[in-house]
Amino acid sequence: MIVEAKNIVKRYAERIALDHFSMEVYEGEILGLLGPNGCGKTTAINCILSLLNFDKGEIKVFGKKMTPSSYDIKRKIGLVPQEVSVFENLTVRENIDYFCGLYVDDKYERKKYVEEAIEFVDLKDYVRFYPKKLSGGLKRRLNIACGIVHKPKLIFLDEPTVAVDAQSRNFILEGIKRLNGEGSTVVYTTHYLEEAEMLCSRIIIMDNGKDIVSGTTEELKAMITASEKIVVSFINIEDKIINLMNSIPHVIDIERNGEDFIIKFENGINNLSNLLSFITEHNLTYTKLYSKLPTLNDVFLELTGKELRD
Amino acid sequence: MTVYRYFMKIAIRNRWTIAMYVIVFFVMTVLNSSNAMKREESFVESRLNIGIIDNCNSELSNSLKDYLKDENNIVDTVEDEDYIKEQIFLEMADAVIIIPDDFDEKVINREESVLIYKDDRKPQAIQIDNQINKFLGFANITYENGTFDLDYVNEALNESIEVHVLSSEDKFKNLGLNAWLKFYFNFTGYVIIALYVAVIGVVMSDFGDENIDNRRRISSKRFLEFNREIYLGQLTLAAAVASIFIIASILFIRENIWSVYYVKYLVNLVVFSFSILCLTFLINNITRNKYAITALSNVLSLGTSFISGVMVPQEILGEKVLVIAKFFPMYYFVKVNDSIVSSFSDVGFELFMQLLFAVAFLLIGLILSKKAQRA
Amino acid sequence: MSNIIRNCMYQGKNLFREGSLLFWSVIYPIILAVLFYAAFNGIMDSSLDDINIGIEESNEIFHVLEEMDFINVHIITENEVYEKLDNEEIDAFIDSNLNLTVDESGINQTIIKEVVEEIKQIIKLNRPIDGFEFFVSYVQGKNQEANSFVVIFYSLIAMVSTYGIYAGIETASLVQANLSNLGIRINVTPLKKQNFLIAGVIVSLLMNLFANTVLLLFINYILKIHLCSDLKHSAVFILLGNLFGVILGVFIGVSNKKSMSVKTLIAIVVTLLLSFLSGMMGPWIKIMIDKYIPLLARINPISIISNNLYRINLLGSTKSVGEGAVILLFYCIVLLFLSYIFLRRKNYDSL
Repeated sequence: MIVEAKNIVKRYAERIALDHFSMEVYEGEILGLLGPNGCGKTTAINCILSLLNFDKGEIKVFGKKMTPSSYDIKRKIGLVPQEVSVFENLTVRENIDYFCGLYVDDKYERKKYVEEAIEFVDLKDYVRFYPKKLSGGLKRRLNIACGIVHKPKLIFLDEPTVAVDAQSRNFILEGIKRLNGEGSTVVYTTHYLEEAEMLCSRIIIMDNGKDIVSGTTEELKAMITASEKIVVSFINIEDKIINLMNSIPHVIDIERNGEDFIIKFENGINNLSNLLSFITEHNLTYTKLYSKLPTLNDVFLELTGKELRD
Repeated sequence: MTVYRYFMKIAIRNRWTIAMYVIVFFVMTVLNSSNAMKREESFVESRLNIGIIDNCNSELSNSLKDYLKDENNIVDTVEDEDYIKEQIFLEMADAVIIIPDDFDEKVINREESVLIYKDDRKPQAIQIDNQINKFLGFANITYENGTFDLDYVNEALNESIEVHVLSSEDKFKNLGLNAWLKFYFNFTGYVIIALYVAVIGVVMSDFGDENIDNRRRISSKRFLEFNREIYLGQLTLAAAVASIFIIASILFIRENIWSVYYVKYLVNLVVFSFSILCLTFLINNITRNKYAITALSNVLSLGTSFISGVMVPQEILGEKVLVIAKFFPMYYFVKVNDSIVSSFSDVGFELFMQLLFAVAFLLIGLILSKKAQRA
Repeated sequence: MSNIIRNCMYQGKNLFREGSLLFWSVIYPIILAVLFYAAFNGIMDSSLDDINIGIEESNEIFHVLEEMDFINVHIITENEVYEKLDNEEIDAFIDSNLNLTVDESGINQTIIKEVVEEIKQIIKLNRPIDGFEFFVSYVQGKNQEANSFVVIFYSLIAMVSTYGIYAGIETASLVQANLSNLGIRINVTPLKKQNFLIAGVIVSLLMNLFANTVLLLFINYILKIHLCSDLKHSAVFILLGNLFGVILGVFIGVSNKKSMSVKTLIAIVVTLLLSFLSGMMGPWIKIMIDKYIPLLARINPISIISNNLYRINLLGSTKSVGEGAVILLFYCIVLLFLSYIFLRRKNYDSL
């Protein structure tokens, strides 16, 4: 366990930001911290990094208690903060070099790292630019470079793809996978569930300062009762046949929305073929039919009663 | 009137900052004007503290010493340069003169006969030069047949003229009070510029933020309407600040207000404030860079105050300087405060000039603001 | 150590490339100096307006006054006196007994009094006026050629030497996580906060010293006012002034959570007030403070600097250099210490 946070409580005057929040990070994984805006993701990260103080609980990083002066621990950590945090009057290269220099003393090693970082975020054509001349996506790339140039063992990325164009976003996600492949453990906060699904080996879902549930994507999806939803749009279906649909194997619930029927199935292999047999049997006509596999949004919805997407 | 309302809200949220600024400047104004009477006096004769060292001890030197004693206060001193400089620095002596042993000879030969250490920080110290020169000049005139006729010199020096100050029938000529008000309001002029630019700048820094301004640009709020409400907000703030100084001055002079033409000062301040308000408006449309605004406000307030007669009376300023000063409303503002008048026609021109500046600033500000719309 | 040097280099680049800051730090004091110079040069020239005197043609000194080129003689009668004084056509009226009638007491009236009195005294001497040499000076001034208003330049230099205060505030906000984005990043690195701060202080010092040097060169070579004859000792105070300014800026920056513009206002107010009390806007305030609250002058840092500059250069005395330097250093150390304490609160309640 690289990071261990137990029962963290952080209160502000008006509200509770972290409500007995616990988190564990294992070496080599990409851990996703998923939750709606304002649920406490950044607060949790800041507490772990000892930027914020907290009221109760315990935090250990690399097995030791984390304090603002734990400089040896800080050497092994990299942070890509939510806001772009660079020197406005230093060029791209100067920024990356400056931050690398805070970790790496040897001149030649540093030079190598800086070049690799520039390569990594693909800012080779922009090394002489000042931050204000860069677009949003490029600025974010710079922000990342400054946080990972020293090849840290543990990297925190706080919503790195907010307001970023699609191309840069994919680029960033690929990059993170590569970093992980090279041996870094990654903690990644986001409220975009597709990203979490695509990237993270393990996910913690947060809401209102609490960690609700954690596990791999599959484990999470298995937690909900409705493992498949099939949407059908029937033409002129009689009420008594609608009632008959409940008899199809594994059907849990049928929801009607005008012409559309959302049929929820529990765990079964032949749900679709069973439904098709039923349709043929009763000579029904339909205009559309498709199957929806559960998403993390569904997981979130079921666990909290709210939508993840806000 | 949404814009106006929010302008005032932001202003009120910054109230402690604004208050601190106003209080400090107010204290400076009061301190400066309480000095007023002393300053007038410093140009009128006053007795200085001088030290005299006489290495000659002749009839002439003793006579000079007596004369100086009549006009000034004598302090003990020692003929040691460091000691003397110390005394002067600590203001125990305003000047120290040393009379050499060949004094008489030097005087007769019209040479520099007396050594003097002066406190350069006191403008009135130059009196000593004048007193010595006059005495020795007189002495030389009476020099005949190898002697000075010092009794005669002293008799002559005892001659004085009477100065009859007309107590004016014009009830607005309470001189002392006018002097105080002059200094008070002149300094207020300096403060007004500094305060307006700073205080309004603090509130405008929110409105001026580029992103917020972009929102405004694409909104349906008409350009002139927006500016009008902003201007109204600035006007409210400016009026509040000016009122504080005006009310304070009334409290200071109380019933004596009827012995001066107070309305002159009041109208002058209002006109000037309006003019500076327009200047602030212009500045806000030239730049939003905080360093530029800070520097500009300091240069315009302090700098123009110096060349327009706030710290140094207009009578003493050089010709060329005043020519430059005339390009800024402060000059006319000070001129009005300085003159003792009983009706407005006397200062009509100066008031008009200030208003002219106001209009000019406003127009240029609007033009620049409109241009920025398209930038 | 190499850490600090590296930080100096990069923070230096960051600061010096802030074009507008650099520009105004250098240009603004020069503009002020030019305006001060313009105002006081007028006095040094003493080119006064002509003085208007009302007098009857039959007056015995009528011709004497006519000869004087700074006096305008107006021939008037006794019953016109009040009217002409009131509308300021004349500054004073001289009657047949050589007594003066005025309606206000200002500089012109004082000068007239002096002149007329001297004329009356000369007449009493009963010697021909032509024999009187008005322009011989029997006085040798021991001090350098200066008048009381040049002293104000020392106050200006003292004030400007503390302008590192603004850079100090900037550095302080960069190092704190709750004040800037960069602060967040810096706080997560193994860089010790005090190293960042020390580098920031050094860089701010260098920048302001540069601005001060430009100003001094300008005053010396372009305005041709030689203020620093004793360069060695003067440099001590200018340096200490800079140090004090920067550290005060850091202190303002770390001691409270207000916004940058508020902190800048505090800086302006503090420097302006201290300068005012040290006599920058006129020697009279300084004289008043020295008379009634002398302690204030001894502890006001800007007073300390300007007084010592005056003393060192114009009086040639270095007696109080030690005391002044010690007091300034004391301020620096105390403020530095307090700043350190504020920064020790290493993590924050909120960001």
